[in-house]
Amino acid sequence: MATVKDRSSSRTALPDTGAADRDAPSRPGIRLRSPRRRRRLLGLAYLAPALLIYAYVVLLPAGQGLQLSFYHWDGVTSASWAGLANYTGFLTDATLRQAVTHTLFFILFFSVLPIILGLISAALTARKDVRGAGFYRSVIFLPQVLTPAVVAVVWKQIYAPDGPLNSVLTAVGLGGLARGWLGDFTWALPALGLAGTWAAYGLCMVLFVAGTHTIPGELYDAARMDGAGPVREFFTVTLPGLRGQLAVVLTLTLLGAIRVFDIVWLTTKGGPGTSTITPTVVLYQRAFTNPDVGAACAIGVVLALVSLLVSLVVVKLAEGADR
Amino acid sequence: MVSSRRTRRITGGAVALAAAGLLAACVPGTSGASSANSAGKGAAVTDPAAMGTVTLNVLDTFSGGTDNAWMTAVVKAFEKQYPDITVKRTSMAWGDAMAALPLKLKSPNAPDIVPANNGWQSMGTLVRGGLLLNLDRYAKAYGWKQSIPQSILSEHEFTADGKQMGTGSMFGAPVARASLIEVYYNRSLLKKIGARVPATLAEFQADLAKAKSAGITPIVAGNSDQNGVTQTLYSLMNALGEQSRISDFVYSRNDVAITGTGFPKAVSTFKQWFDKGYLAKDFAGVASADAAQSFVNGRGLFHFDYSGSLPLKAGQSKDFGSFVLPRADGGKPVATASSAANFSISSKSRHADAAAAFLNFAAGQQAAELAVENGTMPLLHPDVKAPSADPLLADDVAIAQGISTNGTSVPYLDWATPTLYTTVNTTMQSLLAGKTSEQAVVAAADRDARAYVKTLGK
Repeated sequence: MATVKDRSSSRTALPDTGAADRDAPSRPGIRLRSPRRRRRLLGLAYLAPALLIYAYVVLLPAGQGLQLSFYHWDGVTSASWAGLANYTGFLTDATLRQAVTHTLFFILFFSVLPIILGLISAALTARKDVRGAGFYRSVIFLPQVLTPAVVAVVWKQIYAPDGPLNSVLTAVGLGGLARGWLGDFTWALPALGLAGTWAAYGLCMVLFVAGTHTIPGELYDAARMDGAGPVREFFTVTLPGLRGQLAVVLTLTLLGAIRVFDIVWLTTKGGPGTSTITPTVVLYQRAFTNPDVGAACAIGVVLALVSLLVSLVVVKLAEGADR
Repeated sequence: MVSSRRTRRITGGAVALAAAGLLAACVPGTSGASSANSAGKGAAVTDPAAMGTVTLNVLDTFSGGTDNAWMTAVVKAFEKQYPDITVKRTSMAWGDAMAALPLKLKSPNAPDIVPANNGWQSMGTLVRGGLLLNLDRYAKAYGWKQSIPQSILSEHEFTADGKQMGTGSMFGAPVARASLIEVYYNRSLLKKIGARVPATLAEFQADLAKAKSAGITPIVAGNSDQNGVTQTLYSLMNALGEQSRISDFVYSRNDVAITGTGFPKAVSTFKQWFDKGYLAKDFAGVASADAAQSFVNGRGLFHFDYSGSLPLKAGQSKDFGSFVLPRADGGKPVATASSAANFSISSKSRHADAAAAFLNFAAGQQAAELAVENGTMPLLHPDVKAPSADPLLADDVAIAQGISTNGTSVPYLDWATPTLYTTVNTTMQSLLAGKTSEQAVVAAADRDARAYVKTLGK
């Protein structure tokens, strides 16, 4: 609930400011004694409803979370001051450290791989129209439409010891490789990672393919006139033309990798052992199953800060390249 | 393109965030519990006529299947006997309810009756926070301490300061339905290997070997969701360890460490069984619920699970039977057992008398009969008879009778600390994958327990 509200309110909040700032002075019906100040107030007035909701459902809990992260608290009895102890857990707690390394691993599967695959799709379809491309696109985009719970159930079934993956392996004579993928210390993490790649690939592809359509055809013609092959064409025309989309996709998928929770919780709960544990799983365990709310909040705060930093860096990079 | 405005917005957000933090800058949590947890004064009202017209808000975890059928029947019977009391139920999934309880109990309109799980993870913490009502007045009025066997009673007791579990005041009450760990067996497969229901642990192990050599999966289990180890492990601990020491460990009394409970032997026997191939081949890669389903589908001889948790369709129960894993020393079998739910009353409830009347009813003879009628295991009333048409239920009823009359139940091991369940599960997975040693599993559990007992401040 909270995240849904959070997204919609921030989405309405952002365009509002822009619209108010830009439109107010040019509107003929409004006469102002002190236009600039009036304009600012008007902007705030437009913003107020969204801001109030945003403050109540996002900023206030975030503030409380920050405060709690400095306490030891079981969620019920009185809390005791912890100072930075909950934060040093990132250095001292072996489980949490392992979770962080898994996040790096997931970035590869949830962000890097889907982007590479998406770029390849875009490059292949950028030069000419493929017959039935719309159909393939909607099929590949399908995972984006499914809820994560459904995705988890589907992949649990695929990776089951008597599931389709093992059947295929056995059928092609690789029965020796068949195993219970999600119960295997070595394979559980890549298996979940691939499920994430599958889920994120569609979004990357659709955005990139849409992006290639906005690249002026003359650029391709010019490149070809200069004798560029497909590879050269990709790096000099397609890739620079997709910079905006790349920034969007990077932000979305990186945040997705940092926050990955549902598919892990619904399949392995972080196991076997702690081989698929992620910071969000640790957060959930500490907040709800093994009450240590302060430690959970510290993880939340760090994840929020890292996410903020990641999106800032990506946006800056995209902007810097624009100039 | 929008960098300067964006930066301003972020600064603004950070300021607001800091302000919110300052606004809320009081210490979170409630103040100490001990004063709030006294038994209270004045007589407990047990006469329904003196309670007035009351609506009881009950939160339970009986959301489906026989759970729901039993609870619905109990509520109906209760409302018939107490016409002025209306019960308004809310059901939640088990995990969701436990996660939500602290917040629900702190809210101004907390439910009157809540299903706080026994042990430190839920009930103990809530007692320490002063959120649950001390039921001693009602225990006296209704005679609970006499009518409920001690081994069950202890599971609902805490000292008023919240530092000791298993003794002191009742902060919850059992219902007349059991939840215990038992061994299910497939009747036709047991016949096929020419064995009878094992009476000793040695006989059970011989059956495992026989099944294995006959090409039958001896134990069907699945653990990919970290939910398939404790059923077998606790049963082994009960068969190999000493009943009183297991209880002592869970209740952190008499200085019994986990090393003194039979847990280490259980861990190594489990490992031996695993190495000998007695557990389903796909144990690590199958989810526990899928394993239960494949046992019902006839894919193995034995299955360790909680009572009433087999996904049986109508008519299937005649194919299966149940027993408690026999003890190594030939004594009466000991089961990890408790009431199917612990019902506690919110310390904020304005209808404590009516709520206590409901607790008493849910633990009563009629509720036990309703349990059997709805096909689940009764508790507290050993005289309840099983219907003849259902041999599995007959086995279950006999088990419940046994542990009630002999007092041979022990609390769940993981009640001992809020984190022990996770610790045992993750380290056991590592052990079975050959990534760690038996000693390391025991040491991790021992560390977990010692660290928690320290925080109780005894």
